[in-house]
Amino acid sequence: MSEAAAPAASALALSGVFKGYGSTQVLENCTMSVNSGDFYVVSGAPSSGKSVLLRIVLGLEPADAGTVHLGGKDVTSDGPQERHVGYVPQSFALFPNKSVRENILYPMRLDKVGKVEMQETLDRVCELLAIEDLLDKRPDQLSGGQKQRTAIARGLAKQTDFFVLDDPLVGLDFKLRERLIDDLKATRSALGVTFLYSTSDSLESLLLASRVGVLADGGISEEGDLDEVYDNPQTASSMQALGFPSANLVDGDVRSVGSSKMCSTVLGDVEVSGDVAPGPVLVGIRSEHVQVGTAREGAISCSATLMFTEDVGGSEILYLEVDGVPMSTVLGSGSEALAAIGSGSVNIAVDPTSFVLFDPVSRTRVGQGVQHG
Amino acid sequence: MTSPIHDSPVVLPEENAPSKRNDKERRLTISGVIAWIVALIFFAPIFWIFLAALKTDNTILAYPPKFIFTPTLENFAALITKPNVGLYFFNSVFLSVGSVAIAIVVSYLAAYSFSRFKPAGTDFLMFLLLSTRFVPAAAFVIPFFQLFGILNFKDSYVGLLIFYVMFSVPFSVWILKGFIDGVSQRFDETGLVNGASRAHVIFKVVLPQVKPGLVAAFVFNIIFVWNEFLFNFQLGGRNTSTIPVALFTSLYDGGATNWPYVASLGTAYVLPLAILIFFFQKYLLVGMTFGTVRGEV
Repeated sequence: MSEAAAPAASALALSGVFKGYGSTQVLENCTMSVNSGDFYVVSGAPSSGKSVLLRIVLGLEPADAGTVHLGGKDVTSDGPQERHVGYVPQSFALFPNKSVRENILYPMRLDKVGKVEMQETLDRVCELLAIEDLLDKRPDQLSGGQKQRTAIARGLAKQTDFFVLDDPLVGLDFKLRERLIDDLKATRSALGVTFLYSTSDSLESLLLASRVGVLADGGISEEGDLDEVYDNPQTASSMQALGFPSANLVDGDVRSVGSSKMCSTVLGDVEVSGDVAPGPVLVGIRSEHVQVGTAREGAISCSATLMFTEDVGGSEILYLEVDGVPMSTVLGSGSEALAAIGSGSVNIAVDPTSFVLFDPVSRTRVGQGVQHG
Repeated sequence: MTSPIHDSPVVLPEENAPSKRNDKERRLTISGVIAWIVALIFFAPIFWIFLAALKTDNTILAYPPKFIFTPTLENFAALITKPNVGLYFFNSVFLSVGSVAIAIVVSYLAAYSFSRFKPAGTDFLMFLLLSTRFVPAAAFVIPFFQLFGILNFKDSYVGLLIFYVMFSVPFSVWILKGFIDGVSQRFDETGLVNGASRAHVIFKVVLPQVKPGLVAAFVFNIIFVWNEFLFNFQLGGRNTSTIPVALFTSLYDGGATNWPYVASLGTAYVLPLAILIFFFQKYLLVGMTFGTVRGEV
């Protein structure tokens, strides 16, 4: 385990963290790094260990092994009080005996912040979260969304530049979530601080993150800038975790044809490149890369059965089956392609370059489709 | 029959609706009357003591009992002039309030630890705590008598305070643990992350949220200790007797039971507790259910 200080721009660095409860290993050799100013989203399926990871960062749980650096300083053995991190817990945890104002002032009262600064911070976070009118209320007089915003405001009132938000929007209705997503993004950039945020919702990850880490199988399977991870996923789990609807994963089989390699799937055969050995592979295709209608030049196409559609406001998810293999795609509501779809059979087309090949065992990226040369 | 509530022109099925309501009202009235009768039967001994305290010596035991008489306060006047009555009151108040106050602090801290740190064998430890209440008190009077003799604790405030604290802790831990379990640990963590010490979390974050439990534990144990007789009789003495013991030991005066003394002291003894319970009775439910029922508190 390296004891060397992490790079200066690093807000958080986890290295080789292990954590287990009894016989259940939650985190195994988990390593991640968050840079100052990031909106870092830890994305992972429910009960993948996101909360445990965050609790280790906060110092609420000791790691079984590994180190935690905050702002370049080794805090592995420091208690939560010494880490100076702002925290928005998953449940609101608003003190029921305190008013909204006192709840928000709480971190600053503990830090003995001066009166003027306290008032300024209070005004600022209340304005950001539009809760100025609620200050004299008690938590039991608030709606779910108001409680959530108060909890976020309290978290942000801490005089620090690193904040941990544990799935703070879970369970909120769609509209409110949309609004708070905008608020959170605006807040982070207005304050110029670092957010470490966990969610199991891929849409939230996509909308919020500047950097993303995908938590799967006890570790951050992949981390990087959102666009980079989205466009070039290195693991099947990160391709699936980031994407709305979730990316399609189909079985493929690679064989050598002369000097090139071909991968056959239910959609058709595609030439592939990369360090891929002949044999079975997993092929990932993002939903939005599955086009409905006539194939463009260079794309492979096949016929699919439309099972059902789902309206998600503004766009429509189409659930298809190709020779019994489920696929999904997404179309804008009211688009020509959508209007042209009858019932039953539709023609779909996929550009070969959108094929991403993963090893079926390690689920790491081994190659991608290429345009027929 | 006309309904006192509905005088609207809407025609009700006259036969049905009002008579159904009357049936219901009648049933309620009957059950109310029964409840009152039962309550009065339970209250009768206390009522007798109250009345006796206001009677003269020769009317107290008159047969048939006199319900119409001229009340007098002379028994209370006589009570005040009796030696040591003030001391007995002081002892009762000091030992019960003092020991329960200490016990609540100790129990609260213990309950917090059991709830949050879950030491190995928490369930068994909790069981052991309460097990002292499974055994009839008479079973460990002798060990305590000997122990207090060895420690020189007999007839001392320190000894009795320690005993009553020990007497009050188990039940209080049970009540308070139920309450603290009901306070999400996210509150503790919010405090800790924001720089609070553990003491701050215990007394400023969690404590305000379990106030009903503290009151319940306090009221319950005050009742226990206020009425405790056996150990005060055995372990106490001239200086530390409480009212229950005083009632017993000075029962006889000049070869006969001194009823005016018993009645007036008994009344003065019951009143403070009765008033306390009257105002805090909702917390008794909380106490009896170990904090699992607390909707109304």
